[in-house]
Amino acid sequence: MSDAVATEKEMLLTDAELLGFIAQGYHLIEPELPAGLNEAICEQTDALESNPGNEILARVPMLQQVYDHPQVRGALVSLLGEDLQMDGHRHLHVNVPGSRSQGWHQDGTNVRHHQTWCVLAMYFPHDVPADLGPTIIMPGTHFRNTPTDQLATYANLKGQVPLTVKAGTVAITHYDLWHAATRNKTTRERYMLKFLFNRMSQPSAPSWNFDATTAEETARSYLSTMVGAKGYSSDYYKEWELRKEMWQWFKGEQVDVPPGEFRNMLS
Amino acid sequence: MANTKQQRQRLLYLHAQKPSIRADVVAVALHEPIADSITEVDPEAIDIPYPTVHAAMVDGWRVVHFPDQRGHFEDREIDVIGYEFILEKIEAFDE
Repeated sequence: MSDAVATEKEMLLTDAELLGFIAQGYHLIEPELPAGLNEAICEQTDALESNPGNEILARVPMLQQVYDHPQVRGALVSLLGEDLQMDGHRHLHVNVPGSRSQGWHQDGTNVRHHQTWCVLAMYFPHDVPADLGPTIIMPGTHFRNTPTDQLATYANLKGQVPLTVKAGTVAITHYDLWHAATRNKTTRERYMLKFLFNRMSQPSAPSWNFDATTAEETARSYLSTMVGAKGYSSDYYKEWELRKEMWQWFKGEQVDVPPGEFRNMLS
Repeated sequence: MANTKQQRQRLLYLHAQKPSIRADVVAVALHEPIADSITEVDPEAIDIPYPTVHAAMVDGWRVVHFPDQRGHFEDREIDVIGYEFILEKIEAFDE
């Protein structure tokens, strides 16, 4: 095996990381980017006269280095398969001083499933402290089929996670995960580059560092771990079963999780 | 000259894990009856102010909307988080 192939395999997610994504709906990466890359991207972005929308990659081509980084690429291959594709839609989100928070929302329309066909890969080229308007996410909500209008009366949720991150962080989230931009309380702009990546084919086998000797034991704990605000309500057990569906699907197995399966997942 | 006060309605949305007023609160949104007041997702928000709807009632909040126990039920899928209670406090505000 060549060093390049070995390195790529090392950068794939582990079973625990893949299972963490299934349970939480997101995965954070702090890639070891070339020195000065984050600063250079910020400078090019500062120099834009207007938001170029989908043309952001053409206008700031150094962004490709972020998404080609082996740690980022390894996570994307793990979640979407080797034949994944970058979507044509991408956007520079500029959170300006004095903004107000968005409401909680899921992107797109409400045709949800319990698979992973699309992820958001949000790159933050500078540090994002809590007062700079971080993106905020709610773990586990990628399993919820919720028209955004129904989320309008929520403000702060128990278990919400602000993405207060270091420069260079890439947050990969399931497309259906609840999220919102928050108010920028500073006098500086906050940048976030959102790129979408699509799965092009059904999984037929694990595309991450799958360890057949330990994976199911690892899965037992992750699939029945409490995340977010949930407690012992009926939602909690239903979510276990939906996680198990996704786990089977990721492995390329036939999805077969009968109602009541949660009882077999109790430790 | 004495301040002029006006009675106004404060609203508190609490989402509890179950339709019981004793269930754990998992979401909160406070709406103050003040022009330009903001109710928003705040990454610096401190913890949920009341552990249960009952605790809010003890603090003087009055429930004006109860969730419907017979609401939509889906045996497989999940949607919104919690059950919505709306509470009010009538207080005097400067005009």
